[in-house]
Amino acid sequence: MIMKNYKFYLAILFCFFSLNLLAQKDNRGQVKKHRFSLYVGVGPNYYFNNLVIAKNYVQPWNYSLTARLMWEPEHFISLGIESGYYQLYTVKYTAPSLWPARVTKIAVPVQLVVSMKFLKNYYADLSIGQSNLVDKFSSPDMGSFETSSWSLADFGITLGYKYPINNRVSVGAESKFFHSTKNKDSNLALVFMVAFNF
Amino acid sequence: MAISMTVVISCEKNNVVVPLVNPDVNLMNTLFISDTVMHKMDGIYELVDGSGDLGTEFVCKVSKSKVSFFSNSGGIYVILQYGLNPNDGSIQFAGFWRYSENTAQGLINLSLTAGEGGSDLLKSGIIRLLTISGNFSGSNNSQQPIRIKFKRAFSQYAINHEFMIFAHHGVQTTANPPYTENSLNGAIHDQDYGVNGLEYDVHLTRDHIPICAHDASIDLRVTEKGPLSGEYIQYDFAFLDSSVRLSDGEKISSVEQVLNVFIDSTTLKYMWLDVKGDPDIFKYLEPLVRGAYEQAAKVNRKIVIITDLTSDEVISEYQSWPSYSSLPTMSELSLDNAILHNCKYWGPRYSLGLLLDEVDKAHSLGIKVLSWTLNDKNLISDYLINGKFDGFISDYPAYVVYDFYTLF
Repeated sequence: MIMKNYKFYLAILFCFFSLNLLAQKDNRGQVKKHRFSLYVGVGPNYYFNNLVIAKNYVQPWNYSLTARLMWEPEHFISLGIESGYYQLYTVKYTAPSLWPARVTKIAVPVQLVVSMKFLKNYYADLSIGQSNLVDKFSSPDMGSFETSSWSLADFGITLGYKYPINNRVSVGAESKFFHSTKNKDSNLALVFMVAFNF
Repeated sequence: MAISMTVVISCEKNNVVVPLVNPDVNLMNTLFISDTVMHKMDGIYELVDGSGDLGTEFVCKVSKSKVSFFSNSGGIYVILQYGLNPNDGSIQFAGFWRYSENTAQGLINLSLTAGEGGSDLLKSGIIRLLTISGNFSGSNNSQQPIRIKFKRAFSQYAINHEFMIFAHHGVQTTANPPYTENSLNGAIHDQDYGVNGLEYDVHLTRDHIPICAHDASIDLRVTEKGPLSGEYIQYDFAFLDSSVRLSDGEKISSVEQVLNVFIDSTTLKYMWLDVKGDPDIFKYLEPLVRGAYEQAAKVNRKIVIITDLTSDEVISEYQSWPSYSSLPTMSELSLDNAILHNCKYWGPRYSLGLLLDEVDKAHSLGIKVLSWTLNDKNLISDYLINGKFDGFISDYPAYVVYDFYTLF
């Protein structure tokens, strides 16, 4: 599946970096006092349920927490790193047809971010990197335990709006698509965020 | 970022491509023929007319319920069901052909008329004049004729020197296999692909049930996507049985289930259990292996179950359960290690070379030597001609079968 879609992914990358090149024009005359920003957000997310086993037991609505540190010079593009806590989905196995058990799937990404402003308060991010996938399992018979693994080639695409309250603080919202390649998990989150400039 | 993108574009699942089902009406209303009779077809055949797309020379081997041909071209094999047409005395064959190393496959229908050897085969077992005709669907779906003729029987050397050919946790498991690796389907059908042995991997579940799985963890490489992850040993077998499906829809197989079908549904002789070393694995494996020998004896089946000691950790587990030492074992580590642990088999990795002196020494001590895992056609030929091994593991047994029976 991934192999079949790799041209699509490469096309996204190509378009994104092409736009980034166009964005290299500096904003002359504007010298920023605060070139770093910390974004913190939380919001609901929806898991694109592609499970084959226990598909009907998936609870697709969960939540995401995100944190992003950005270097934002006078250019339209900025760079940074992003992490977060994406609760992708929860499955509740129920008796009597299935053994009672509960599984929660979580992704903790660690990604590099390239961001570009394309209107005054709007921006788009592309993030690529790795994610730690954590499964929390609990069952009356087998107890509770966690398993974790790394997904090495994950990416996210974000469209956001940021409204400055003052020269230090902004608020906004982001639509974040996240894809983890290891298990082919994807979700879409609506994150309400606060940004601090420093 | 570059590394991430490289991984993105290089990931691909190893999908199962199931064999084609041949709806041939010629097989309908045919009568059963025992595999004892059909075994007389075993031998070398040559193309005498029609398309050579499937090859020009074939090794014919009969399994419990199929007739299989292994070609001299591209590892192509043909697997056929058969039956006797009571109206004209012909033997009808229907099945599929396929390449070993890619997914190209098609349907094939053959017929052995009474006058071209069918009658002799059924009555007296004489097959010198046997000629089989039919047609097969080519790569562009066009029907192509084929006519092959019995050329010679297997040599006495090939008949008397049994060469062990193991399916590497199933056949073609490196890409697009017909069955998921380590599955019951594989255990039932692998003999149709020319092997006389199965190599399956063994792990343990939380409730101490030995299961057949290569990796310690649940992996999308061989399972359908579900919510479970982590190691098999974290879950009870019944939960895995209800909550995990292999990539072709089958359930996870226990070793007991595999041994049962190995004995009851095949004529295979050898079972190679590749033990991966979970705690106390030999304690839980021993009753299953001994039970399998008892079950085989009841149905007059001669089987050999070889337990593979794959690492120092596994050997440590093996030593902690001394009663297992009376069962056949194999060491993969070294010949000295095999001698030290009184193993009946030694399994050197193929990349170590032909090891002629060591193999001679092993044979002098009554130890058989099995090389793993040979998949390259040229290497298989080289190791058969110049080596002294007693058997191979391969993902592509069609190469081994063709070469062994035509070279010797």
